Amino acid sequence: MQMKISVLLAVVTLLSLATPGSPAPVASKILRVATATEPIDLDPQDFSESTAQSIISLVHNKLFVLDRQLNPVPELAESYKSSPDRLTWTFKLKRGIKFHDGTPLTAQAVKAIVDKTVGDKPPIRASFVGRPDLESARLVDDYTVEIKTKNPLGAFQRMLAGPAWAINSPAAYERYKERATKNPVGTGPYRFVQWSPGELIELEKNPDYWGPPVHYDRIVFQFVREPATRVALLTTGQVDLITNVPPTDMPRLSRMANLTVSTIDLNRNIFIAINAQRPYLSDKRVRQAMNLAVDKQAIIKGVLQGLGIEATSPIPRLTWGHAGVGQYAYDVAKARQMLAEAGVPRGHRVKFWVPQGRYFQDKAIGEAVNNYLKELGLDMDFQVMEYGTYIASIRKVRAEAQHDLYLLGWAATNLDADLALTSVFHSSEWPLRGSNRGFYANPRVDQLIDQGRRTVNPELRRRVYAEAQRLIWEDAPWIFLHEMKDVVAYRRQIAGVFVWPHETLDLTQARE
Amino acid sequence: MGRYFARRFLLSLPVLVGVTVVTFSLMYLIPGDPAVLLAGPTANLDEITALRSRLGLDRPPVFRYLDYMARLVRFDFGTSLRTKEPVAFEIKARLPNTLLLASIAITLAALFGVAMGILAASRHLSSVDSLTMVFSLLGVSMPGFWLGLLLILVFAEYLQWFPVAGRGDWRFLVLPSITLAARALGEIARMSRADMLEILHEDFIRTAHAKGLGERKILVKHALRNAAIPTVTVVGLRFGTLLSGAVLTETIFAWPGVGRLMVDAISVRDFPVIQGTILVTAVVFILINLLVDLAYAWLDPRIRYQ
Repeated sequence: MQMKISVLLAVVTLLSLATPGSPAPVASKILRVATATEPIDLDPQDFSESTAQSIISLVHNKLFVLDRQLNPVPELAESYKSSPDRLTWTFKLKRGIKFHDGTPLTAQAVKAIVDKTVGDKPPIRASFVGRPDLESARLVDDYTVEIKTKNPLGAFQRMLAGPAWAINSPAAYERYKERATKNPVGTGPYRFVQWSPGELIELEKNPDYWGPPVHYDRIVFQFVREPATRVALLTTGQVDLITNVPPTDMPRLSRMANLTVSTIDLNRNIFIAINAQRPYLSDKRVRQAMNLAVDKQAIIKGVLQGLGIEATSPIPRLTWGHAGVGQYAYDVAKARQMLAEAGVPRGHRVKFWVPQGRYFQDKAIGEAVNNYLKELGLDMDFQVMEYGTYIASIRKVRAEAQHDLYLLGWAATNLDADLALTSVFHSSEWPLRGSNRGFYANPRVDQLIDQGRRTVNPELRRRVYAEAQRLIWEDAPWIFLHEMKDVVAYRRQIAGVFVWPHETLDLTQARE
Repeated sequence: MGRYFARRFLLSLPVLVGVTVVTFSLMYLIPGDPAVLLAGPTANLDEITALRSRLGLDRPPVFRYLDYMARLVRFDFGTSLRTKEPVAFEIKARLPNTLLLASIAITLAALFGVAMGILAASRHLSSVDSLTMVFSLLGVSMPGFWLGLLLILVFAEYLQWFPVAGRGDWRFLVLPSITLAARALGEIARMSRADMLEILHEDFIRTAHAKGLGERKILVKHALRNAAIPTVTVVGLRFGTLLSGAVLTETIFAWPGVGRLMVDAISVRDFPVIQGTILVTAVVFILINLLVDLAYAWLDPRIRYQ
């Protein structure tokens, strides 16, 4: 036995010698951030998660950025103009800017994004880059690029300001090949240093940055999935900033003198889509009754601990084009009456599917709605699924779709009504093509969405979208629930932390 | 001894092949299309179709299995669908972390577990006995994530003796290894106590007492060696579980290990990573079993000749 133990000890000693476990060397000014999720990729056109978005926003620049009022303003674009038919856009780039690999920023880098997006193997974020509308890109000279679109685009600048339009070094794509998504090379204030899988990503200050100076020498993103651990890391000073603060910890953290706790309104809707092709659910009155039967305020208060705002439109307030078009105030008596008028038999069976662990309190929200619908007199068949199974189950063509109701969240990362409406309400976006998985169809809504996308005049465009929102609200293809909020907390000495409504942490102006 | 070992070793090869077949077929029984999951909820059909062919998911399963085996014999585990990194790279980045934590945990568990077992058995029915058994019962029945959070609260947040989570010097290892060790420690303590009690009632122990041997010598030399076989089995089994089942501990302490990798891979149907992690875990399991078999043979020479 003794020998066995000494063997084990020897193994342990050997292993500890073999393990790297090296934290970053301590720099003068370092900002440690603990996020709930780890990026899968850091290619601006190929990522699918919000921590990646935050890192890309530090490493890369874009032709346009949003100002804090959420209006697009030029960033790398020196000047731009569009042809009279609004189909050809010419962008002149700022000169003398270098990527982190030392190569100069030229128009080729912009053309590469379009080429990649319209090509045979589009990247994951292709629709955010604008694949359906982009035609081609042409180099005019080293610093001038011309982008052609298939139709006029009302949201073009806004689209160019979206995270998917971040510009990566073409030389880096050449150099790293398929590993380019792990080695982002941009023109931004921080450059990528290392990625330890499952653990952390480290960035350091770009000494040649062309824009306003940044405060921190290094920023380290640590991936800590467990909320209680993130909170403990912050309170003990092991990290400086945490995201996705659990609401149960908010009161305690708010009382701590050395911390700032900040609540952020997000651009994400949580809703329950109704399969409009199922018996009775095809009747607008039934769908409206379901909206009336759910007490949104009670869910926000009881289930979300206040971290939500009742939806007043199919698209969130922080999305451009939003119009507050209504409210389905909780009224179960009226809802029952409408259900009866529509001839729904008592105890009509309804299948309701909900994912677990994808959105804040998703399962609990589902349970609450389920009880409200039971109260309405429906016989609910409620099922909670792991997200992988869930998304595969709801992503079915009409003939195969088994669901009556499903819970999901939706956010347009370019903060524009077009992206917020098209994929979820346009009848051409039924699965498998798009995400209109409740098979909603209203020809007038289709027409308005198409028109809005092509309208360039902002006022006209707003009016078009407002009408679309009114019609959708009236049709009630969803049980409209709430817009999400998020909470970040950080050391009180830190100022200038900003979170964009599309869940991107902006640390470019963070300082102490 | 050599022949015994060789036979044991050869017997484990079919097990390995079996693992590859099982893990590969399992993939077709789980609902969920990785292309859909990877593309995210906003992707449209074109994007998903392109992704599917890019990932080779449109080829027949038999061909994909044969491909997989052909690459496997060259130690090529394929490429992660999710991160597009070689699976070997993903595992190599995490396996040392997992082994480190599991080794420390099993060492703690074996040392203290056996010590507690002997102590309890030698003071049978005393207050020391009850106390150790209550303690080990707590270890066995306390959920790991709860113990972990409790340790963080007390020793990291309140007393500030150890860091909360992450990697670094030895202090970062203390809380996660204790969390991981608790269950195994409890089991080993109870197991060795039971075995010791049984052995202590055997005739040869009475003889040893009659010979006038000291208490300590009887316990360690005569009783312990005979009681060790079931304990070694538990230690071996537990070590295997610690390697594959440390997901909760890894999550709470933000420890970049294989368990987390495997669970994340399952949730997005990252087939190559699931296969790779299961395979590596199976290999480690088999190796540990071999070591346990060897330990049996060393502890009890009769076993070699069966």
